[in-house]
Amino acid sequence: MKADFLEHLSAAALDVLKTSAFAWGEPCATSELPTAVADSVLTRIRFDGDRRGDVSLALSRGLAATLAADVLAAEPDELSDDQIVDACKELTNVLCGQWLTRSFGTQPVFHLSVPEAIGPDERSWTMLIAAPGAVGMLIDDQPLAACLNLQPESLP
Amino acid sequence: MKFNLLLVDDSPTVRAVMRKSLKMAGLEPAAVYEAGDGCEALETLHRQVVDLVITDLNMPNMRGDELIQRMAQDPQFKGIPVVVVSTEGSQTRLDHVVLPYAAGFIRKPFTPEQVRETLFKILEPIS
Repeated sequence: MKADFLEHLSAAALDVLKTSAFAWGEPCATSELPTAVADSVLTRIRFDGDRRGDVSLALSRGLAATLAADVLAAEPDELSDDQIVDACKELTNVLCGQWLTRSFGTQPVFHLSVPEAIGPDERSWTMLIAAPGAVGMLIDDQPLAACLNLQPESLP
Repeated sequence: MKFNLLLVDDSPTVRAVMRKSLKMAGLEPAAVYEAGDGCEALETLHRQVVDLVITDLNMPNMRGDELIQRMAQDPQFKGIPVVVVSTEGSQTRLDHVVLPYAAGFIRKPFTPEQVRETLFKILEPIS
């Protein structure tokens, strides 16, 4: 995977978190992230166009609640689980859009799926941060990972 | 300025953020209707008086680009301005599918200032 793609993913994630949730992240190696998070929120959005793949986001439920509260200008304990997950889905949606523009410019057309929550039986925090396309960051010392899964380019 | 607004997005988060952004931008609609996709939006348009539609593009059941094209083809709705709020980054798609029909475009993530600037230009002639 091109190093540029991962740099763009990290930069886009930092930007989106700052603009959408007023959260300042510090990039870190995925090896610095905990290998397991007991209660995590995982979301994913797929894209299809010049390239095909998906972008995922993984974070602890506590951090998810904090970010959702900042997005919605509410208190974390006022939010339902559905609201927290929906906010994370929307952050993933915006992250994917920003990453696609940074990586491919404004000419190609990509089709995005509706963002979805990923169940722990399908993909876990541990699996996600071990993937080659994962980038890590800490927000107030809480871990967050974004992961790019890019399918190989089709042969002409 | 008084106006009835229809917010169309499958994410309740985005609809809530847009409502708050409108308030911060000093825009307080007389009524706000919400829809989760293009189909619900068309049902609402048939039932309610709407002066402005703000819609996402990427939604289940009926996408936002199909919604705005259907509105443009219907004499009842073609005069209602539509603002697209989306993560869409492709200028190609915007030029061909969105901008010919939409009154404005705001890229996510957006600020209240962007909302104000885009909507004021559209709402002033209406008021």
